[in-house]
Order: sequence, then structure tokens, then C-alpha cells
Amino acid sequence: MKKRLLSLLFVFILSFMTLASPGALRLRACGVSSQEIGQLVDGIIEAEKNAAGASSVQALLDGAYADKAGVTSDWFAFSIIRYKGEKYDYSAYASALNAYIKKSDRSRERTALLFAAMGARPDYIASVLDGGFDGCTLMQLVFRLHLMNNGYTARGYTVNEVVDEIISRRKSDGGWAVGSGVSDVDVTAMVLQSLAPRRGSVGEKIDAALALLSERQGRDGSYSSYGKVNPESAAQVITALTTLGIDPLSDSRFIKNGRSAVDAMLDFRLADGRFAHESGGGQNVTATSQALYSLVSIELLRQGRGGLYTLDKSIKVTIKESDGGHTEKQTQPTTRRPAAVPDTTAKKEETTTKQTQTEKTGRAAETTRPEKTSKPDADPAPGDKTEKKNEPVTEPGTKEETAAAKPKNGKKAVKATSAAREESSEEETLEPEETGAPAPEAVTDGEEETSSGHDPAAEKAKDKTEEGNENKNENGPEKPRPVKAFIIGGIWAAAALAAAIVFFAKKRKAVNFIAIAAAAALFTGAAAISDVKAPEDYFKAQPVTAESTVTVTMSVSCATVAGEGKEEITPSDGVILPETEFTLPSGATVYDCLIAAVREEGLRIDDSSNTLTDHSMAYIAGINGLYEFDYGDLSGWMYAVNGDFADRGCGEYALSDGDVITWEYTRSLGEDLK
Amino acid sequence: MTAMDRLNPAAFLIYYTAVMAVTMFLMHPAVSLLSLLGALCLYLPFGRRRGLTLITAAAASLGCAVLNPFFSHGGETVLLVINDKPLTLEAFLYGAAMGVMVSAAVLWSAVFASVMTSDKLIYCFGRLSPKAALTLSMALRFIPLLIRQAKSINDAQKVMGIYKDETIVSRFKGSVRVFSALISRVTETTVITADSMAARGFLGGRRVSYAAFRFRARDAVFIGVTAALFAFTAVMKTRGGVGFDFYPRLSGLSGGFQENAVIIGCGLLFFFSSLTQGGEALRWRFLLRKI
Repeated sequence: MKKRLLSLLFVFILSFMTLASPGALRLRACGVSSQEIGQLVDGIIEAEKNAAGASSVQALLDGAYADKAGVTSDWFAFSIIRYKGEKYDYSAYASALNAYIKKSDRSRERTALLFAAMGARPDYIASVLDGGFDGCTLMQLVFRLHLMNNGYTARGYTVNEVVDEIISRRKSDGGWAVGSGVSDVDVTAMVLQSLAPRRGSVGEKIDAALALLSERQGRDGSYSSYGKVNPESAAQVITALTTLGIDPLSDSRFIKNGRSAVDAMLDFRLADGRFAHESGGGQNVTATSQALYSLVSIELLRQGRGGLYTLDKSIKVTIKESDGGHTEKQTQPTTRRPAAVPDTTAKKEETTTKQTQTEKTGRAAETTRPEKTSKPDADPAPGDKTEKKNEPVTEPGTKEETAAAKPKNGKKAVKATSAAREESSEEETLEPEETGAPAPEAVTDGEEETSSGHDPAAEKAKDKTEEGNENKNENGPEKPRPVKAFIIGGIWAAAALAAAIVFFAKKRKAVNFIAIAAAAALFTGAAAISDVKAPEDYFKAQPVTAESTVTVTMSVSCATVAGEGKEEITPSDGVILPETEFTLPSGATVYDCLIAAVREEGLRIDDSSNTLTDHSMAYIAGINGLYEFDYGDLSGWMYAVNGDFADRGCGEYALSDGDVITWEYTRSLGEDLK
Repeated sequence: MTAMDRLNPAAFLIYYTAVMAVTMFLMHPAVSLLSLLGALCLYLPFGRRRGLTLITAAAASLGCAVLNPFFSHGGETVLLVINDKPLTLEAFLYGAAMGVMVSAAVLWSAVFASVMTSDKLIYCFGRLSPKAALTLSMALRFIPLLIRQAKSINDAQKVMGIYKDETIVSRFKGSVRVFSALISRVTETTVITADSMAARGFLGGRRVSYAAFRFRARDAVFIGVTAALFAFTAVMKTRGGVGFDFYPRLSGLSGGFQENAVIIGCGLLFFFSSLTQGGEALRWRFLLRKI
């Protein structure tokens, strides 16, 4: 009795706290004030300057950054251009970038955006935009839309067609993702950034995506990608909100328990002002650059200088040819429209006025406009949200959009393991789930995987994820879908149907029924020993549960056939999977690493071996739609570990810590890879 | 199948070849579907043993659709992951499309078999090579003959009371006995046939052929229409832009001019034979009324 009273009291206190949380919010909403943002931005630039040993920001731009132009420093430069405007001279950087594009064809859209920000190479931008967008990845479309939002036009298609294409790739839950499956916070936020000037025409879709982002926000204001809290996701959301004119520091939809996404991002801030990718980790270029431009974006909003991607047209940089071998041709018709013509069709819908504002006032736009933070975009489009379902993927996405197209072009450190697969069989028989279950939240849930394990590490992981998850749990916790039970049920239903047919066809001999039962039992046995998972449960990060692990790096490249086929199958930069770190249980094979990439990075492999659960005979016939024999009789996939082509199948090659796996496509049995 | 029956065998053979070529080589789901419907229009009203053929065709389509995802893992829309191998919607649809194509080919062949009796085949090929025509005719006769003989042996054994079909083992033993008797009989027949052919002067001189079919103006029109539609389709196909990708994701109908032209051309090719047939039936009704 006493116990019951106590628990009742406990429940009361809990519910009271939940009710009172808006009050608590006001009290604790002192994480970061908008005045500090500028200091944070300056702090990051200062730290970068010191780390590079540069004497001034100008020296940093001309030296360390120019050296890495096109590789890692593009977003730093972009942030500085947008934040400081004409204060610095960007010609050295532009020249470095110009030299880089002659060597490499990577991320042309991003390079074009950089050129657009510096007002250089309109011919290059035009060549990037031209030629239709068939086969474009989602990220390429987003960058093209950024360019077209700034008045660049493309031959062959209009800006509205790009917007429609992006909208058509929306996932069923209202967000976006590069692969199939549920939408991803980062990608959704990045798409929103590009759609921001199009509020007039696609406002409903934007509101639905905003509602999704609000729902995905963790209890402490944080955002996760692939089940892991990280600063980049938060940075993308912050940038998206600010480009939409929403102040992430004060909008109640994006403040959870008094903490905004900015606070969550600042959790990863290091002592010197730069950012780490994971808590306790060291400085990370991707994290720092994305944090930088998200903070810049807030500051731009506060100063009324438009969105991060609303480029300043007064900046004009001339490119110096460093090596006189390749002279700049200006013969191509420039497609950049004069800044004084804001009322062209492409810009008409920009009722948010951010663009026209900067265009009219130029760099001198210090006039603080009444901000749109109070704009009533609070209707989270409930109609769209009810469409949540756990049916698989209704629209085919493109998985090839690997990080090459994302600005996260650095190494991705992803905790990965395939250990959870080993505990699969028991989990499959969990209670059935109703169809009204919440949308598959591939990014945040990891607790079910650990529910059958009892080791302390797993318990800890469970607690941790639950913290960030509790606001979603009211919809019922997510359980793996009991697909195996359905399959076995289906087998026996089919057997019953066959038996009924036999019965009514008057073939009622015992042997007929025995044969049907035997066939059904055979299939049931095969299903029982198989590991069956719904895609929502399969394509998500697996928590590390093994005691000893190995960390390996894997990359997948098709450099030998780069750009020869469809862009989504043979990307022109040859990068199918950039160097990515995977943490696997020790004893894992190369095949396990591939599977980890499949589950977490959206890679698609085709293992043509026809075994059930034994993968030691795995044979990789195709990766991401690129198959053996596609480019001649001697073509196919080969892998090397630490530079040596292995003499074993990938299902037999056990990895050791620090191994570097490279999968490469050959057209002549490896002769072209030496 | 009156209209097709009265056609010159060569005209129908050309039509069948064109239809099969388009169905098998165009590899486009819309074309396969139209081909299936066209074959059904011709087959359903007149074909023999419709039930069996239809069940076979349906089972083939379904089997292709269900089995293909287990062997081909391309495609992006993952429905289920079994042992780390994805079963994809695209593979399923590819299998279904292949099934439709195979069913269409099977049905067209069923139509062909019921129209082209062996005398018509010999008419078509007899002049090219009389020996080949003879071999073909004998080969065509061989399988039905074998089935008939097996049945008669079976019946004879039943009447004699040797045959038992109570258990699987006894049934198996029974069929082995029938098979052995059949083989002896076939060997014997071979020798007898050879002897009788020699007695009738086979190999005695050059063989000539006789045709019971005339080539009429309507046959020329039929061939002309077939050739025109086939040529139109082929030209449109070679102009490019006609293709349907299943992997990595369905490309959908492009709606381009060439594709629409090819689909319309194929549709006309597949259906104009049944239209001829239908027109003939209408005329027959009309003539009956006049009597």
C-alpha cells in the first residue's frame, strides 16, 4: 500500500513537471544569448588563424585556406565571405579554387556556389548548371537551387522545375534523405535551406518539414544523425531555421526543456573555440566549418542581412592565373543577371524579401528590418504528419548521394557494429506492432537492440538514448517489426490455401496433404534460421555491444570508370563511399564492414552467393548498381586491405585494428588498379 | 480462328515472327503488357485447352515475380532484408515484367500452334528444303504420337490388371513398366518407318513439294500492314529514347515521342490480327441476317 502511494506521488510529480516545463523553460533559457553569437564566430576564426599559424585572417585565407581550396576549407571561406563581405580580398582563394577545378571534378556544384559567393567565374557556374538535371543527386539539386535563387539561370530548365524535383523526392514523413528509408535531419535541413526563398509556393511542405525537425529534436535540444548526437546535424537545423527567418534561440518549437539547438551544438565546442564531432573528441574540420556557418547564419539574420545563401552581389573577384597554361575564357555568355533586376520570374516568389533586401541595399545593409521570428509559421501541417506509416519506402531515393555531395566531406567517424545482428533471432518474436506506429526513426532509436542484452555497456547506451528520446516515447516505444512472424504466418496461410484447393479438387489423399505440410515446414525452417528484418530496423546505426572492437577505414571507388555511365552509378569523381571509419566487433570480416556501410551509410551491395546465414562465401557482384561485367568481361569489384589485394573472399578476411579497406572497380582483372 | 486459318501460312508466319521479335527484344513493360493482351484477344475466343495454358502463363509470371528478388538484389526500394540481402520492389517488378513477357510469348506460341498445323509448316518450309520439311513434320508428329502410345499401353496394362496406383511406389513401378514398353515400341516403330520409307522410294530421287494454299490479295495486305508496323516500330526504336530501367529504380515512362510511337506501333501490330478476326465475325453475322 505504501509502495503504491509512493509511486502515485511519483507519477504526480512527474506529470506536474511535464506540465510545468514551459515555466522551467523560461528559467533555464539562458544557455546562449544572441549577443554572444558574434563573439563565437570571431572565436572560431581566431582559433583557425592560430592553428594555421597565420598572422591575420587575410593571411589565413591566402595561405592555409587557399592550399585546401576545394577540399576542406570551402565552407570556412564561404562563411568568412558571407560574414565579413568586402573586408578581405578573396582573389587568392578564388585563384586557388580555379586551379583546383582543373585538377579535380569533385563537387562541382559546391565549387560553383563558392565562385558565386565571390562573384567569379560565371562561365563555370553556367557550365555547372547547364545540361538538365536528370540523374542529379539530391544534394546537387539543392546546390543548383541555391545558385538559381541568386539569379543564375540554367539552359534547359527553370528554377520551378528544380523545386518540383526536390519536392518530388520528399519522403513520406515530410523530410528528405539521400538514401531510401526515413528522412535524415541533416538532409532535410539542407533542403530547407535551399527552399527558403520559395516559401510562397512550397510553404506547406516547408512547414511539414519544420514540424518534423521539431519532432526530431532531442530532449536537450540536440539533433542526432544515425543514432548519434552530433554538432553537424544541429548546425544544419540552425542554418535552415535562420534562412527561413526563424530565430533558433527563441522559437518555442525548437527549444526543448530550455535548450535550443544552438546550446546543443555548443556542447561540442572545445576550449579554443573550434568544435569536435563527438563529445570528448578532438577538433574536427567538418564540425567546425558547419558550426561556423550556422553561427554566421544566425548573425546574418540578426543583422538583417538575409539568409546565409543569399549572396552579396557587390563582391567581385578577378582570378589571377597561377600557371599560365590555361587562359581564362570569357567568351561564354554570362548568365548572371544584373543585380538591379530583382523582379524576374525566378525571383517573384521571394516574398520573404531576404534576397531583394540584400540586393537593394548591398553591403551597406545594416538597417535592421523587423525580423520574421514572430512570423506565424507555427502550423506544423498536421495533415502531412498523419501520413506517417511504417510501410517501407514509397519513393525511390538515391543512395549514391554519398558524402561526396554533402558538405561533410571529411572523414566520417561513425560508430558501427554488426554485433547486434547476432542477437537477432530472439528479437524477431516480439509483440506485433500496430500500423499506427510512429514513423521509423532510424536515427535515434537504439534501445530495442539492447533489450535482450544484459551487459552494462548496453544498459548505459540504453539510458543515454532514452534521454534524448523520451518526448517521442509517448507514441509507444519502437520495437523491431515482427516480420518473421508474418512470413511464417504467410507460409502456412499459403499451405492452408493449397490444402483447401487439393481438398475441393477432390484429390484428398493423405500424401498430398503431407507433401504440402512438408513443403511448408521446409520453408518455415528456412525462415526460422534466417535473419529477417524490416528495412526500418535494418538501415540504422547499430550500437557497439562487443567488448573488444576493431576500427577500420573503408572506401569504395570506381575511378576506373568514373563518369562513364549514369552519374548516380558511376559518379564523375569516382567516389562511391569516401573514407569512412567503422567500429566493428573484433573478428569481423571485410564483408561485415561492407554490411555496416550498407546499414549506416546507405551503400547498396549485391552479394550473389546463395547461402542462407553463412556469409563466408560472399561474392560481391555489384556495389551501388555498378556490377561486374558492366564494363567488359574482365570487369568487377576488387578489394585491397592496406594496399594489398587479398587472396581470400571478403567473407573470410578477418580485420585487425587500423586496417584500411579499399574497394575498387576494375575493368581488367586488377591490371588497371596497380 | 477462322480469319487466321484462312490466311496464307506464310503471311501468318511473318506476322508471328514480327510479333515475337518485338515482344522479346523490346524489353519494355508496356509493350509486354500490350503483347499479352493482344495474344489473349486472339487466343481466348478460339484457342485450345485454354485453362491449362492460362494457368501455366499465370504461374510463370507469378513465379518470376516472386523468385526474382531472391536472386537479384539490385534496386533501391527495400521491402525486406533477409540474411543481409535486400529484397527489393524493383527486383519484384522486374520479375513481374519478365513474367508478363514470357506469358505473352507463351500465348502467342499457343496461338501459333493452333493456327499453324503441320501441313502449313511444310508449306512454308517445304520449298526451302524438302528434307528439312519432312524431318520437321515427323518431329512434330512424334511427341503427340508418343503420348498417345503411352496412354494406350497404360490402358492395356490397366485392363490386364497389372497396373496398380494405390501407393506411390506401385505407381512409380507402373510408370516405369509403361515407359520401358514405350521405348521398345518406339524402337520398333523406327525400324518399321525406315523400312516403309525405303520401300516407297525415299532417297530415290529429288523430292518435290505440293502446296494447297494460294497467295491472295488479302495476304499481301496483311503482310504489308505487318511489315509497315514492324518497320515503323523498329525505326522509332533505333532513333533512341525508348528504354525502361528497373535498376536502381524504375525510370517510368518517359512520355517522349519515340517511346509513345513505339508503344502505339506495337499496340497496332499486336491487335490488328484480332481486329481482322473480329471484323470477319461481324461480317458473318451480317451475312446471316441477310439470309
